[in-house]
Amino acid sequence: MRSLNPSLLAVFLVAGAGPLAAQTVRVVNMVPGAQSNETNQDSEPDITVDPNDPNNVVASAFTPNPTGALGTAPIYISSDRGNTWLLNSIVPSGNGMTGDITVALGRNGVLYAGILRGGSSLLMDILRTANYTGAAAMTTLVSRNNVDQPFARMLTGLGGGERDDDLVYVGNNDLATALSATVDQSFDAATAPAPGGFAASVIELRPPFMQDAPPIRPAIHHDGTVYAAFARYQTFTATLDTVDIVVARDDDWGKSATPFSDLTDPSDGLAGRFVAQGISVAWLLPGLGQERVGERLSIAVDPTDSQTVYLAYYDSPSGTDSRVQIRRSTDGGNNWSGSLLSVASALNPTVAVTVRGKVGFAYQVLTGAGAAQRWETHLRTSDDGGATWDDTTLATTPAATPVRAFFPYLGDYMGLAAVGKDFYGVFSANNTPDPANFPNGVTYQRNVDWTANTLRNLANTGTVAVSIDPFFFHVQEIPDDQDFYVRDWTDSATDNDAGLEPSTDPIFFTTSDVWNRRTDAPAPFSANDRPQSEDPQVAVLGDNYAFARVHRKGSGSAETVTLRFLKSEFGTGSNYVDVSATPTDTLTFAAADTVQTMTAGVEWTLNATTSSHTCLAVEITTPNDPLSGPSLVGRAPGWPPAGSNTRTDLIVLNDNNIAQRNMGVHKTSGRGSSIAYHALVHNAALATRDVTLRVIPDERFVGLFKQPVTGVVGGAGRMEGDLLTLPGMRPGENRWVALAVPATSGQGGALYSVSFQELVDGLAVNGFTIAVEPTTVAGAAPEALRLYAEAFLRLGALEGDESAAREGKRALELAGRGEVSPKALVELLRDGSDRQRGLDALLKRPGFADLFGLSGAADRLSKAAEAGDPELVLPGTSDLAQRLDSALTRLDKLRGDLADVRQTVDWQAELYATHPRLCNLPGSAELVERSREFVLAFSAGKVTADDYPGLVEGLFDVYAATVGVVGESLQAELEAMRGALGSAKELQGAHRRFLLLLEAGRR
Amino acid sequence: MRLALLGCGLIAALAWAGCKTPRADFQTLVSASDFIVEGEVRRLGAATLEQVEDTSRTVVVRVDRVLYAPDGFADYTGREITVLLAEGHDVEVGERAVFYTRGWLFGDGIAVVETGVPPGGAPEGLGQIADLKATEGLRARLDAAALVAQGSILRVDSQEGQAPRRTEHDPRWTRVTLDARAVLKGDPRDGELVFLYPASRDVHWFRAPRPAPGLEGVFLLHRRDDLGVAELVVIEPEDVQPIERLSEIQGLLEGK
Repeated sequence: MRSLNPSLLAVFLVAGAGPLAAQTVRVVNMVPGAQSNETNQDSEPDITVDPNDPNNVVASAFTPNPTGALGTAPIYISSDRGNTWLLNSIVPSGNGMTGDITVALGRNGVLYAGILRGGSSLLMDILRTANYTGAAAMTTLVSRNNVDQPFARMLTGLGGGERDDDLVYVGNNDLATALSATVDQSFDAATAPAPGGFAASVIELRPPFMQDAPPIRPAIHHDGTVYAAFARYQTFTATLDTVDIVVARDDDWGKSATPFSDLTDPSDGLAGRFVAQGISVAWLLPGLGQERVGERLSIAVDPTDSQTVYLAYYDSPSGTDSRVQIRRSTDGGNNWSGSLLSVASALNPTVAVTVRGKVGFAYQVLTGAGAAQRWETHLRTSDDGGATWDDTTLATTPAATPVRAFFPYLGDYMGLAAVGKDFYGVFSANNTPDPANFPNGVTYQRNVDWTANTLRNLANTGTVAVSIDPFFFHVQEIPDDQDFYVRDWTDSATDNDAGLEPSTDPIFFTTSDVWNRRTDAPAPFSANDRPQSEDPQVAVLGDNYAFARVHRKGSGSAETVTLRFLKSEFGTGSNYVDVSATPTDTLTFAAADTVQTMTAGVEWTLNATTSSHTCLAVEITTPNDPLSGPSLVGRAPGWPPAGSNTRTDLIVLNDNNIAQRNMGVHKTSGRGSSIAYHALVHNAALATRDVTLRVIPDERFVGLFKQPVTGVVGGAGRMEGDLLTLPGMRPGENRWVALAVPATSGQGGALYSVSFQELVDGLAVNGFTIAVEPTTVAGAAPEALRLYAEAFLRLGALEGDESAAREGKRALELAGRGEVSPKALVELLRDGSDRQRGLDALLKRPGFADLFGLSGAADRLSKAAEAGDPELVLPGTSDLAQRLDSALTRLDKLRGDLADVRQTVDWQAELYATHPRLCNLPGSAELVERSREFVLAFSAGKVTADDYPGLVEGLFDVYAATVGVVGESLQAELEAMRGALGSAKELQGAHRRFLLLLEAGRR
Repeated sequence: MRLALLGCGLIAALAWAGCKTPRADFQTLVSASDFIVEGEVRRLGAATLEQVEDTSRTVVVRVDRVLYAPDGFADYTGREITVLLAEGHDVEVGERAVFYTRGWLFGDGIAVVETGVPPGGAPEGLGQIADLKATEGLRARLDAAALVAQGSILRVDSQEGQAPRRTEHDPRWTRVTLDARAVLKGDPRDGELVFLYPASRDVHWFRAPRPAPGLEGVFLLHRRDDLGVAELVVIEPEDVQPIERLSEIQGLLEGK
């Protein structure tokens, strides 16, 4: 029987921070109805939530097998987001219980557990099952004696070499040696036979007093940063410990020969940073209430920033009292804040961070005195890095009853997890069904009498004594009906992005629900439920229309969603700008709607000098569901907003309000030469770096073309295995990746694609896909001709070249007739006079380098046209058009780029803040401050590129002083900046050249 | 008489070979089972818990009689449960049978896993289920014990010094001296025997017996090198039995 406290709503509204809707809190007594007779002390709970489907939750506690069988112990499982629970006895045991137990569940649905086996003392087992609702016992992967507190945490890799791998870390205190702080880790644990890839790594390097303390806690970030916190004994007596709190870190999943050695302490240069030294921790008794005490630790890394990490721990300042506190590092554990929040008479500090960077800090505090003492369980949350905290009281229950059966009374830890925007947790407490004990409401599954506040037996014929039960809680940031999302990927109508954060496909830029059309209609979705995107067209051919489909996780309220469309260059790293001056639209959801597709698009136009190779993005917002951070305007996915210390910014994956499409589809036909398709790679970072791309051809591409042939234009590049590295790219630098694909005919309809992931720390932060569609000459000719026309029209517009413009118009006229016969195509291109004059003018332009091979491509096309063979002319046309388009983009961007205004100003602030010869210049501090203010205002939409010249003009005194300090070599660029104040675009180009000289001076 | 008739009825229903199931087989089956019920099959390929996704081998059974159930589950008469059938055991709707099962899922209802079907049937055994289950734990501990002795506790020494390892699960081994009057199993020495028990109230040890001076009983002493002690130990509740069970224990040790 499921019982709802009639006097309270189970879902209780709590005032939330910021503009968001009130968060909802659910508390559920986890003991199933069939267990209504039980009076166990179900203490020390842990929890894990399926990141692929948060309806699936697994928890653990010191709960005996319901049947009394000795061979297995149970776990708690829920398939409805914690509303109801089952016990499934699948944990191997020797006495029907476990000792310490923790659980971890990843995207593959495989459950892992670290336990001390029941019936033993310190026998650690690491367990695994691919079917935790099944009847078979979990498989033992590792079994080792003399080990304490196995603490399992994991994630399933999103990208890089770890994609879909289960990376599992079990912190444990291996008492076989004095250097006892240990992490057993496996980088692919899902299927390998025992030991499942697990190997033990000692993370303590300094000999402690006899050993380390019991808790060793790992925390994992998707970029491969793994932290581990432990407490190192300086000394201890029977009742008092003196310990150091230490945090270790590994920047590559722990895969090196010396794992967890990437964070050292300045005092001795050894791995493991001291966060606190020589603190007092009371040991076991007299304890707090009926509970024992001792070292208790929790660590969590911010999913939005692997360098931001929170650490919570217990100590006893006077030697006998109890306190919990939380601290933070924003530089990967090198430096730590003071106590952000501390609570006296408290235990079980537990910390987690949501995908929006909100930190949750849960603990249990003893209040009152004597028989009136109560255990209160709190969840404190902060979305400003711990400056201010909300407080949710989950339970306040009698502390004197029931009488303790064993230690720990409530647990040496409780469980807290963050999945997406929400917190999920579990705590143990007195199970008296009294509404007053649960200020945010509660539901029970076991039989209760809410009037008498008593537990009832299975037959509901008598009362059951009070005991300690596990309680689940879920704090939902945004209700389902107000949580809107744009799919990052769709494989089919039933297999697609359900709004998870982070979303789960690292190719998140090819099948998303944002797309372009050349007419103002969204077009039907394909058979596999994907939108049908068209490449943008240049203005002379018509306008473009941006579309999006928006889902939400539930229904029940009428809502209006605002959509904002952005574009960037095709490739990776280019900064986004609005598609137009009016880039927004709205979608209205009726109460019952869960999905809406725009019926009319947001109109936008490609101007005459802009390439039609474009990436599109959409950001959706409602008052209750804003973006998790600053807009993408002025920046690129993968690179952090100003003021962030993050190494990577998984904004598209982490925020279901943002989606992007970065896919070029090209019809191809004919034979002979290859066609070179180009994509722009832009370094959006504020420092020089190697840009690494993983090249991923699909099976169809490999089957037809074998391995992709790539090259780099505009700078160096090297291919090793499947990684293409562009070394030493400076801030704002552009290079082009070329994919050469042999001209191939086909019947159309089938795509052969190569995806490129931009990797940072092994993690895909951005990317693009180039796909070809082999078809007939007649089928491919219109697109080839259109691209050819667009390229020459661009050349005409950019260089004011009449020959090129005439060639473009001539091609456009033919393309505009609809069907293009191979014969007409050959005849058009046989007359190459305007083409050659336009190209010659470009090639002879001072300073122009034929990096894209225009000469050769033009010659090949001319020869093919003279031969009169359409099968040679068609690929030649496409190839020349692609090369010319990229050459013109490069030429245009050398002058400047409005999309890079924010990055340039941000870079300027970075240089003047850190350059040893600049940071003390008169006015330098003001420059840094004004620049950063501008960047923040730019991201917030309060200023635009139009305001940029004003900012720069106001800083010329500082620039002049800079010339005086750094050298006269800067003077020419400074003058160029002064001369470009009338054009934000040209000013950006000059400004960047000025900053490049400054950076070169620093190096 | 009633049980015997019931058993033969089951033989017909389940096409058992006869009433000659070896006692060991029946005992093993009972030992592997912790929920033994007589009931009627109500639905095939179905379950009473929605979390049971694969129902290809599950049936819904209405419990007509509970032959054995753990504490807290004795009152399942009249309720429907889900049974995951043993391989090769096929049933029909309306069929009545005894299901030997172990626990699986416990939610609003319960699902159990059939542990087997007695190959030869054992109608006379049904009446012994309760007795078998009642002594199951004790028999297991007797089998595992290195030494079983009758006697009384002479001394319980104070706890020893600092533990070699610091863990919240420290058993706090405490030394007990037993005046052994008879050794029922193991090395046949009479006189003083020394063993340890864990005085800790930690979750690992709270169920351990805590012998006091003067206590007279039967002591099941175990060798547990894996616990890091060379001495004999008592760690489970069954390891110290009241003297009143002496003859019962002697019988169990003699295989009666």
